[in-house]
Amino acid sequence: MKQTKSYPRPSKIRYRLERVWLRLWLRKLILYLSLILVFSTFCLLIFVYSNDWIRLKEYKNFFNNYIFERPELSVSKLEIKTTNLDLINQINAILKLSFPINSIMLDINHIQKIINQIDSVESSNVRINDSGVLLVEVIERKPVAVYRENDDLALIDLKGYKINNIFSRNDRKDLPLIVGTGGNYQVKEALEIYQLLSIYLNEIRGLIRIGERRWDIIFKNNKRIKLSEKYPKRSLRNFLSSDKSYLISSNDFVIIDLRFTNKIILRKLTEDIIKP
Amino acid sequence: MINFKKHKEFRKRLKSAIKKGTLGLIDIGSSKIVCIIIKFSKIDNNSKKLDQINETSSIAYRVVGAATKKSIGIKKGEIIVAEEVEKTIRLVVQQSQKMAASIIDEVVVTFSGGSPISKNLYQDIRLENQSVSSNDISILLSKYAFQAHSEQREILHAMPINFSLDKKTGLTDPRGLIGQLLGLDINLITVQKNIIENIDQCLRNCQLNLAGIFYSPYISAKSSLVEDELKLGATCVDMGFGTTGISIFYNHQMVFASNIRFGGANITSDIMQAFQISFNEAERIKTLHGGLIITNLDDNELIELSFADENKAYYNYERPFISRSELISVIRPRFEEILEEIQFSLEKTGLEHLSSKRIVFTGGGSQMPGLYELASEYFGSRVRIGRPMRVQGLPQALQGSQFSAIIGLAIEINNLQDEVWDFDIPNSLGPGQKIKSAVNWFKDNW
Repeated sequence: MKQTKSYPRPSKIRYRLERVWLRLWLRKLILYLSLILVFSTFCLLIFVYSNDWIRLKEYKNFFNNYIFERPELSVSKLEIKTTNLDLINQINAILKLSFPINSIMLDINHIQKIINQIDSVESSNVRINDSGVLLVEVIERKPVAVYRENDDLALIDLKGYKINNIFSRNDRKDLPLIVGTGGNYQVKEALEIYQLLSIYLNEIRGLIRIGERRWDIIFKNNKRIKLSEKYPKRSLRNFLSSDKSYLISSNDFVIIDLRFTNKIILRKLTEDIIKP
Repeated sequence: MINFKKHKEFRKRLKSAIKKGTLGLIDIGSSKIVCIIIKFSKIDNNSKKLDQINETSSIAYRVVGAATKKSIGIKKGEIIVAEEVEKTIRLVVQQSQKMAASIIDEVVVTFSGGSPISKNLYQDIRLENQSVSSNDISILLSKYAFQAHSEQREILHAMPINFSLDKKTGLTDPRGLIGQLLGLDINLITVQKNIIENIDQCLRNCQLNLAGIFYSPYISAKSSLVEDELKLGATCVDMGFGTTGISIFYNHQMVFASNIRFGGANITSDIMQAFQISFNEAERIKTLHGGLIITNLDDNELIELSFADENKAYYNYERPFISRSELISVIRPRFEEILEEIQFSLEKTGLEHLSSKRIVFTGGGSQMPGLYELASEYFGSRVRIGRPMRVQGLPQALQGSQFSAIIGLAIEINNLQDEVWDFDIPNSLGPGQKIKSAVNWFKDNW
């Protein structure tokens, strides 16, 4: 026919091949087969070279050299930002770091945890700066009082944490003394009571927590002021500002009892009581 | 009794393809071969529903691949060079498979060749005042002389179109009604022998299974006629390149179909001879500048002829231009001839009282400007230029009326027409055959 000019059309083989290739399961099969082939050749190579352990070690050393021991990553020294020399020595002794060290090997969070576990440290901040220095910034606990418990004298901070032990009361005469179980949990209140008695500071020996509920103030001449349970500061302030405050300096009474709000009970030490 | 083994095999393949989900549709036309791939989505997981596809169950489907190519080796709807057709089918299938990214195994074909003849057969049986059962219908079907028709020619369609019971007619399903005389009209379309075999052979060489073959005027009417026209009766004229198909519908059934061996190719060859130009050039100016009504303006509109091969003898040095009115005066007589042929064959059917309702023109030839006016002169004001319906996912380029056959095929597959071979064989079986049928049942289901 004149009008039917031929044009390119696929041959039988090509048509069949394309039909085969369009089958989805065949494509998946080829994909999985090739993946398996790659994996198995990889395994085979490892198996062949596994007898040659020295070579593998060389590779390991090479990778170590190449990746880990770079000057950019090394940490050269430790810097602890605090004035307390004891604390510096303590931290150095705990961390036991030998420099230079790789920064990838350092677990900064762990270091911070260790430092925070030291008694005299309140909080810390550990980081590595640009010039390869491991910086440890320490906020120390401030001793505010001396606490005696079972013949042990310890310095405590405002929250009642024990910082460290001292040998004698004379070492820290400047700090007030708190005695009794549970006394370390009410340090703030104790300090406020001390503040109210600032005129008589030289005469006070310390505060005793009694029954974990109220305070007694002990003076050097064994005089004692018993404070009320609920409002110790208010009762003491009322007493000091009243005209009966002279009772503190008088030697007539042994115990001044302020436990009741509207009355003051005084107790005299007499011969009768001592010798029944 | 002929057992329609081939047709039953086609139906089985079609159902399995729908179950599998992909199906290819091929339109083997005189000018082009179109292939579209449709994908079915399961509405219901219940597989029983897919078995009952003949009953008005519709399945959601979508066109996923489409390709169209100029056909070689087909003249007036007939395959004349099988190898060329094979090659073109291969190309078209390959391209649409690439677009759909999946392969097709089963293919449904629409085809307009084989000089089809449409015949209406009538048979009736006496019943003893009992309700009609499906067994009665099977016995009725076995009385038809299909054997005589299938000796010289091959049966393409055998559609039961009308049941009648006593004096009632127009029944679609007489089962359960009580009567004495059960009659059935069957529209039988036969084609020349070995036409189906040839197409099957072509497709088998492309590794495709034929899952059904449909007559193209019937199919293109399915896409072009609207519901009311199908119900009240209408004639669909599919103006193709090689042939012009006529199908008459009444009450949703095709009652007559015919083929006129005139088409767009005749018009093109007229132009080719009139202006001494090549066939492709004639086709080009026909589609670009063609028309059927001459106006004064057309005398002044000059069309430049370009010649593919300038050294050829039919190159006309003196007249490189023709006016549009000259072109129209060549096209119009041939068109009138085609319309006269249509009129003649409609008169011949003896179905004027049905077909007088409406005439719908579709196919590539119906895009000719002025066809409506010209056809109105012949058929009165009952003419409509039809465009195919929309199918989901079909590319824009394939939505013109020249693709009405392939679109109609997609619509038809979705809602299959019952044919004679969809009914059961009369089960007057002996004991030996019963075992055989049991074995067959096992074979079918496992």
